[in-house]
Amino acid sequence: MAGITARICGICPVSHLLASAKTGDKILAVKIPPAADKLRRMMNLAQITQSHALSFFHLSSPDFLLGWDSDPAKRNVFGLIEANPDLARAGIRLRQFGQTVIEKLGTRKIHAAWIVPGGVRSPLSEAGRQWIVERLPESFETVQLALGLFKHLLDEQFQAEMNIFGEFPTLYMGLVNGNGEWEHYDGSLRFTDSQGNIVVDGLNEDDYHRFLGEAVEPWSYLKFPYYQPLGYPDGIYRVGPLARLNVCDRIGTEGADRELQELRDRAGGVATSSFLYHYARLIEILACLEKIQELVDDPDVLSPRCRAQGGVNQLNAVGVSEAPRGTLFHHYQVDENGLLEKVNLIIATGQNNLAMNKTVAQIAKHYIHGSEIPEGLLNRVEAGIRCYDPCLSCSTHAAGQMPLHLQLVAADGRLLNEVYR
Amino acid sequence: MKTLVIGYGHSLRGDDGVGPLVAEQIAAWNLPDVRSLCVHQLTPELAAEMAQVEQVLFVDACLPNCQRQSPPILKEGVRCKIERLFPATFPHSLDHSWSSHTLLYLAKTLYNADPIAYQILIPAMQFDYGEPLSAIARAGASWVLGTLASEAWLRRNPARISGSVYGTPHHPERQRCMKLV
Repeated sequence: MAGITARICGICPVSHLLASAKTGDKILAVKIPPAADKLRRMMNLAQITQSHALSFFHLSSPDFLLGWDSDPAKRNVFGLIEANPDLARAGIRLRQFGQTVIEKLGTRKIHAAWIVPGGVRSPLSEAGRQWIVERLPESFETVQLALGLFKHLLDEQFQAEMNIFGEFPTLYMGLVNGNGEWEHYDGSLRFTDSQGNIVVDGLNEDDYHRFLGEAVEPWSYLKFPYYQPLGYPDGIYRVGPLARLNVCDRIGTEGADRELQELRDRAGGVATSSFLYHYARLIEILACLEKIQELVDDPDVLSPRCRAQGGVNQLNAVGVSEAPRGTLFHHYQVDENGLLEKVNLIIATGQNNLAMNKTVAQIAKHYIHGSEIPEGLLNRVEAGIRCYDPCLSCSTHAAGQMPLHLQLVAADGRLLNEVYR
Repeated sequence: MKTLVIGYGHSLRGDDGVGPLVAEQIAAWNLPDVRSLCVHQLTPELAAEMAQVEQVLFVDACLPNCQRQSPPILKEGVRCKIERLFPATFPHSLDHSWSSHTLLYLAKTLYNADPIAYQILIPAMQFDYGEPLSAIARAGASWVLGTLASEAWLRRNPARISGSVYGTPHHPERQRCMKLV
């Protein structure tokens, strides 16, 4: 199953691999060796780095640097190259760094079926370790460059967007470790609210069906998960980079904690605008690099004792990890031979579905007055959704190009206007 | 390294996996100066790898009716196609995938590299879940591998080819409109 689910997505296969293998660990009822825990962590950190780099440098930076009123034909990575080729190149190098760490660990960049139930197939090689050590400084420079750029733009240009692109109260959910620190691989689930209060803490993924509901709507392929005690749709919550930074007490590394504090100072406490997902991604890249730096100096990552063996000892198991876009659940039921009888996946993009819809509504309410759809609205709707960096292949099984089609519908159901891209 | 082969597609969605399959087989040949990559989808960092080579071959599955520029479709509606690619820009919106044209543009503008590039399209008929390829995709893969092995494509000094090459897997005689320059 780990090998199959990794192929759901070409951008974050490691996330599915990890959640699936963790579910497999429980089915085998094994405790994985410390070396395997650290190696899995390293791969997930690399995965978050490369995925966030793609989102920030190549999908979102054109919005920041060229503006939402620019021609969509130019408001893309090619416009970015014209405006700032060094940034585009640095983004590619950062993404390459993450991809290559994955390759050094798993021998393949994508679909690396290296994480297996019970641990991992092999340790990091000394040559691989050396490569990571040598490339880390450049990656730190790139993320610091991007952080400086984004903060400058936030100060100069983006105050309005902060208040329009998904600025509303919701709950936030993410993993934290035993000390309440930022977690991406293990730990327990925590919900907080927009005032920073812990709503519930120490939740175990095994009980997800007790605190998460999954609504469906006839007009969407995407599920609508919600926090069950508050019902649907009041149980709206957000996951992903911003949520992870909101639920944790601290990150646990020096540079990232400094940036987290600055984010909280700028936001006046809890960062409630989805526009700040971009900022959170950069802070998480820094956190990932710092944690990779810690791990790469740990002798365990070279240890060959990295896999526990076992048979089918449990028939029902839930695994959880933090994918770049948010918390990812895999739930399997198997028979005595380990053959799957039932599978449920709760994907990060689905969990942000309610918030994405609310963001679109907020942008529309701000810009649309009457029946005219103003120029640039489609760009802003697109950018509002892009804050969440949704993975449509993971969450909807979509194939092919995603069209943008915006319809303005009156209260009585009449179609007033529509625009396409 | 002279040639980079990039086979892309979803290896669990039937014929969509034919590109990675071809790339995997080429990698197994261990040819000098040839690097072959299997990827799920095209992403920007591939441009940096493309900038290191003289020739790039993109291998992808294609519905027969996507070959709009090609000669009349044969009765079976099945034909492989190898055609030159040129850099171009296409705006993207919410997805995470990139086109071969845009990667060429990235390689050119970011790395001042202009590799000769070809798109190899293999006819595909079914995209349901599962690994087995349809007979048509299998035949197409076989034709492409045979063509790449027997022609100048993967040699140390690949011939520069303009125009397109068409192949009909079911027919021993290939249709050709190829010019060596």
